[in-house]
Amino acid sequence: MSDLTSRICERSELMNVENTKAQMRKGILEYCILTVLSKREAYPSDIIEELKKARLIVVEGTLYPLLTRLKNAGLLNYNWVESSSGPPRKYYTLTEEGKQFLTELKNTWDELQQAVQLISK
Amino acid sequence: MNKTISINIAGFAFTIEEKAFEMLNRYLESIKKNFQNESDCDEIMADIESRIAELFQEKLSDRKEVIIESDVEYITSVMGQPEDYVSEETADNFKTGEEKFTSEEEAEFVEAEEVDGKRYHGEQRKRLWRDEQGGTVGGVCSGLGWFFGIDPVLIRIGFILLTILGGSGILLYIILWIVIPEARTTAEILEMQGEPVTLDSIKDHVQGMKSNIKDNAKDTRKKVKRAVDHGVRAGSRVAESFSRFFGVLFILGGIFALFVLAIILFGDTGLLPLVGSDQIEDLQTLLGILYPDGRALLVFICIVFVTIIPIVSFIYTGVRMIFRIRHKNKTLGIATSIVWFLAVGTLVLTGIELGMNFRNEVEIDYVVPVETDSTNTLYVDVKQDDIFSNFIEYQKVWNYTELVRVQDDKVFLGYPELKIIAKNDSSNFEVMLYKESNGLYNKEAIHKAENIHYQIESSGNHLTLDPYFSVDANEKLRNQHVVIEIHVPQGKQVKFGNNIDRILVEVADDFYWHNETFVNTTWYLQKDGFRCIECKDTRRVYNRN
Repeated sequence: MSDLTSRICERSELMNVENTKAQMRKGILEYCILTVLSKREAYPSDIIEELKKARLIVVEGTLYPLLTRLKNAGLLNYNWVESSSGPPRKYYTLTEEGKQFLTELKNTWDELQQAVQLISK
Repeated sequence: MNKTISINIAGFAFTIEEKAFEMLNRYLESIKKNFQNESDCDEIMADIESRIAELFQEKLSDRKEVIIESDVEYITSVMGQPEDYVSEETADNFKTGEEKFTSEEEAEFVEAEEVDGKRYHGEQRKRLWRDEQGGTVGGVCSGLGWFFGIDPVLIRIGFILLTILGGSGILLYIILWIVIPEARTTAEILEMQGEPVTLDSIKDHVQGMKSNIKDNAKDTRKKVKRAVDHGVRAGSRVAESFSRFFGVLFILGGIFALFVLAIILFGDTGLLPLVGSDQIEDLQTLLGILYPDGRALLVFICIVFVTIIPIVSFIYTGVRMIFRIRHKNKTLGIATSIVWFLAVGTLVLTGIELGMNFRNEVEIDYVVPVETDSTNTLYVDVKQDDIFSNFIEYQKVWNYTELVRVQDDKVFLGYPELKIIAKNDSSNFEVMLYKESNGLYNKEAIHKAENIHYQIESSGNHLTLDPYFSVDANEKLRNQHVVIEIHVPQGKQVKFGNNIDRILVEVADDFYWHNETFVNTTWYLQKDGFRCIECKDTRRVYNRN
């Protein structure tokens, strides 16, 4: 037990601000991607533009594995659209399941936001 | 001068400098390392490559035909460093990359921390919910499993044992099903699992749901891990093999039941406990002579549904237990339940209707003419029985079901009754024939009674009785009965002949008094009652009148 406690302490020392920030961002990344797609059909670069504006992500790489996983989880769907400047592009849309999922996440997010506000007062 | 290589990215050909190629190759390789253990690795890599191809296309023009190192650097700046591709599952690993923990240790470490937290201040966070997603029937056992931190299979076995031993398991289950609410939202599911409701845990849960869909093996691993944390690893294994064992039993039992049922429903009635041997061909015939026209088929179909649905779901449960199928088809379950309840309802209604058909009872009397000569003896014989056996053994209780036979649209009933009654106020024999039947209305009952076929041949002082009576199959069985009464004046006697044992005989009020035979016995009416002349046992003097 003492070993475990010391490990926990060791770990919390290693936690720095940047780390926590990154964790927080990652947590809501999926929520934001789904929100962007709930507004319109989008190509990864379009999504990245939105996320860059919000300073959530700065590089595209983060997005691809996430999109694939969301798609394989049945939350997203895509259409191939021909492109003049390269290979065909995948345009992603939300599935019904994705919409439900988003609603649930939104509720949770609202709850959390309220909770944080309440505690910060 | 630099050497160039021709490469193909996402179906597009590019000419690239050797150094730039090596750089790009390293870059792609290190990205790939992040996902190589995942099933969708190829798809992610294809997406990335096609984006890279697109970005290269933008960089090239008529003046610039070769990809150089700076272009690859541009790619990394847009797409990000290999670490940026990291999937969330392994994110922690990268953050603490300098530490000596391996991914596995790290994961366990995190879980240990969670368990620890639960022990100190998290217990009240845990609430009892039903886990419909993870459950087999209503998620009660699964929910209880979460609550008590033990494998739900153990709880299921407990319920099964309760059901087998006392039958209370199912009742308890239904009550719990109604009482415990189902965990619907993510927050509720986390509460059920006793995990803190935080952004992180919701994220983890979302991740869990996805991996549930995409990778069942992972899910099993996770479950096993949980079991380890709760110290019931061995228990879980035993439970798993128990679950398999019961699954096999369920399937074998189900198939056996199905087999028996098929014989009862579609084959010989020999297995029907109510109907003996080969008297009635099959269940449909039996229903046909009982239920009103047009109902028999409906009743038959309902019986098929009512019996087969539970057996099939039994087998289905067995299959799921063996193969550990967690996914369940709710619509199918609801649909079959509805069909089952409809069938039961129909059986109840048709049963009530059938009962109504027995509402009125009617008896029709006929007088059979007889003449007695100076011997003062009436001879009673019974014809040879060509339908039922001539040698049906008398027993204390008659097995009426063995005396019903359907043949050529006729129902033969082998239990006419003969009553010998003392008659003190007259010096002549009197023979009465009563035909009785029930029916929905009086009129119908009369009609049915009249349509009972029964013959008594009477010549002088000889009576010959049929061993059975019959009704047309379309008249249906409505408790039809035939009773022959012989009223014997004092000082006169009745002598029974051959085959008399084939029908029910009652002397005075002593119904089937004997285990011996009535054949060739003479019954003389004295002042104090009937006396058997041939019987050796003098106790058999009847004083009932």
